[in-house]
Amino acid sequence: MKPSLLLLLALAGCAPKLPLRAAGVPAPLATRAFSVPKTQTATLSNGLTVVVAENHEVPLAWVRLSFRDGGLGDPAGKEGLAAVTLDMMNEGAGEYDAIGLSNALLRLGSDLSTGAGDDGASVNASGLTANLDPTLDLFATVLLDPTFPQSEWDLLKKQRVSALEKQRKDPEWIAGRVFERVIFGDGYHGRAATKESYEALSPADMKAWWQANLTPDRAVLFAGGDVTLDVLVPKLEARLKGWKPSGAASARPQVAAPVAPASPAPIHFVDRPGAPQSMLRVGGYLAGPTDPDWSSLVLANQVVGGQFTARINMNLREAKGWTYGANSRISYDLAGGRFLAAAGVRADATGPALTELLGEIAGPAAARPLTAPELDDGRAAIVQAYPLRFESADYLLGQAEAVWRYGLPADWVDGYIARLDAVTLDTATAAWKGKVDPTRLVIVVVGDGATVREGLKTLGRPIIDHDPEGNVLPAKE
Amino acid sequence: MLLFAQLATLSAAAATPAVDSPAGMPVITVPYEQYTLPNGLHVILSEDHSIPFVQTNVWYWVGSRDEKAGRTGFAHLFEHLMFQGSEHANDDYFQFLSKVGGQVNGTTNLDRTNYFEGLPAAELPRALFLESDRMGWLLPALDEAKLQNQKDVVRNERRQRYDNVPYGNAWIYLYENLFPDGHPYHVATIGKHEDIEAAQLADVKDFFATWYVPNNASLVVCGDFDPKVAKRLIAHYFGDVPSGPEPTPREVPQVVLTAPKRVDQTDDVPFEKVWLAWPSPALFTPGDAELDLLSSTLTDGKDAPLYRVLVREKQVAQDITAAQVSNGLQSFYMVTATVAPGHTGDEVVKEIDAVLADVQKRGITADELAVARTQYEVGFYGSVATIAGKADRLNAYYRQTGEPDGFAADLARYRVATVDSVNSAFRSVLGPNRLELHIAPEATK
Repeated sequence: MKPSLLLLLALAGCAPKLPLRAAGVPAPLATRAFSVPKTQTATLSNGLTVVVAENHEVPLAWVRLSFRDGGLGDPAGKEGLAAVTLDMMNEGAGEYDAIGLSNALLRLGSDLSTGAGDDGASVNASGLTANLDPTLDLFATVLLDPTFPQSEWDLLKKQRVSALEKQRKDPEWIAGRVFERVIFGDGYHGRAATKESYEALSPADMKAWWQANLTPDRAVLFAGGDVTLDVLVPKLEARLKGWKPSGAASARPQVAAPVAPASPAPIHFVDRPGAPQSMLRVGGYLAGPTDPDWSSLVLANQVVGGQFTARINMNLREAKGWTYGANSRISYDLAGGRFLAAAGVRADATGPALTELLGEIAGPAAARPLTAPELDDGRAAIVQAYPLRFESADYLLGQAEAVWRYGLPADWVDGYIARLDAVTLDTATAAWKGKVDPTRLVIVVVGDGATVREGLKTLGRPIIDHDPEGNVLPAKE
Repeated sequence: MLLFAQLATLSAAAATPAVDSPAGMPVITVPYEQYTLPNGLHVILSEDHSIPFVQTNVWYWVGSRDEKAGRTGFAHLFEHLMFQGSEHANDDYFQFLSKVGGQVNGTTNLDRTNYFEGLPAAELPRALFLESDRMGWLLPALDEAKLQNQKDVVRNERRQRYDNVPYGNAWIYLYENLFPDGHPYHVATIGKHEDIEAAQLADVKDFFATWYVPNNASLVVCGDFDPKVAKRLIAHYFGDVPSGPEPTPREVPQVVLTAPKRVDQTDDVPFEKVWLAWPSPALFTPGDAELDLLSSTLTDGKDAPLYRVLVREKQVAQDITAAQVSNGLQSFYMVTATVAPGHTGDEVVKEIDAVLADVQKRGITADELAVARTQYEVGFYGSVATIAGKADRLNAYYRQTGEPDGFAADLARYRVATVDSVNSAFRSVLGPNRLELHIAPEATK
């Protein structure tokens, strides 16, 4: 007797047949819904804004008090002031000396970190939810009552001066340093602390900087993890109610607009005798995140160098075998939007690798137009991975901080996917053509001159030699 | 998702005098089910519906310890080849995965190789299809050009992560001097340039047939999935991967240093740096957790003995760290410090020895132990907050202890450690016979 079709379906459990291996990559299952989680906001009586993103996966919570001001406002001759001030807040506060503070934190298993970059400063605390109260006590003490002990500054100064010497041997650091110097000269990211500027700093300078800049009207507090707004606000209110706004305007200067080099841009070179690998950097400033072209640039870059399968990596790594990895990134800071391509390449391939890298950057506006499948794949890579960014509270709060610090639109997070979806092949191509001029990007190479110089000469660009700090050296014959 | 339970017994344990540690550290358990396919592939499923993402994680029980003479670096080179396409998916694996939002990578160490994909929940079939295809059908898609390309890539990786980084070769010197020639750990996982270059297609075939068999692998699926669907897909895609002879890892006796050993190297570095290293108990064996706790006591915080004396008081070192470097066959314990300007490596070693002798003599205290335990526990929670982190630990615990949900048992090692057990590990491991490595700046040219 022949089995009926119904019986066969019943035997198979009604599940549709799975495809054969030879059919290749199988179709997806039904898509599962996802909605972007929200932050919650409150204002303390002293005017401080508090933003919370809950995530109760593990019993840990953190707070990040972010300040508008950072190293950008450091006075000439006192470079490093903001960074050192923040570092020193963790070296003694209230009744605690440096060791006492360290021990109090260790006993709780809590972490307290303080720091400043060019764009801002922050005081951060994290720990077990169960220890939120004592952790916030220490956080408030460090914030409101730092003592800036001279003995700790003497020690920290030595360590920071040694660190300057250490950096000069690190090829990644050298490449970054020269890039910033070329773009910003002695302004913004081009400035750096020196032995002399550290020598010029005193605890009195730090105390004054702390008093003038770390005020609730120039700050926002972000909190994430196993905590709620209702629990946190009274705890903060109790500890920070005496912390008053200054009302004074920030003394932070404007960032001078970065100037692109004349075409064809030279190669800025640092000799590292014997280096088996050369560090390549190619980049510059483009439109900022509020420019209508921003999302188009993000997606065009995704195709050019923003992912493993992007053109730059598939060429330099997977086709040529010259590198462990090559990429380009789009980011933003107070100077606007930045494009930066980076690769470490085998020394004897330096010239050809730089030629290929520049060729890939030029491609979309020249010999290799972007294609629709590339753009769609690049978009899907970001859009489909989006839920993963919300596995912890960090991304959501990081974006909230960026909106505040860089004046981004209120729908920056909620509208992110829609803005990417609106990008077309035409807008991506036009944005790349209009905003990325491959002949005027800053080029930095750090490598073994004896091996790579001849190859670099074949690019037909002037070569300008620098020391590891980015200072220009006399021209070589 | 992680489940937390408060244990009454731990509340009592945490009430150690003079330490404000929280009453009752949470205990972690991760729900899972496990089974073995007829071909020997072990499967572990763990649901977590917090976001619509799913993680696959495959461990092969093969690492650089299993390489043949003259083929160092091969296990890691092989890992790279696993991304270059298979018979029914013959393209760069990133091409299949990145365009659906996949977060993909693999790593190789001395003892094992892992491969992991994080994908939107709907793309579970894609991940399982790809993992199964390279488990069973890697070789038909492999050719000389792919092999040569990845040899080049891996040699660039060595340049980027070891050769062209200040002190980057320290790891290589440590392994080759602690573990004798012929020992599975003698050469660090990255391998030697000449051995990587020497690899042949025949080596790839042989390695695949020996180690990349389902009966030497385990698969974790963790995240947002329906177990009924997952089981059906796993049976469908992995069921016909042929099994092979049971691989037999080499057995080696524990290494013992019978005399102090000193190695001096020079390199393009800014300051002299020193490493002291002692062979120590293997991962998950008695003493392993104790030595982790010891590291915290010796160097965590400004009052920790090594940090306080060398960096703050005598100021002979710029920084100092201590760590138990845990491996499957045998671990080593390491203290490392960068020499401060105007001082020498010999001075630093002398001061380290004096501090270690002092603490060994007085013994670590209950208070120090409680503080160290707290550091470890807090760090542990952070590391299991993601499905990727949990998936890898499920495989690690299964491989190393036979029980995938080893989260609580792992933490318990640190909770049951006593002052006596830590002091005993400290005194028996950190003896006079140790490796002393110095890397100093090259003489001024």
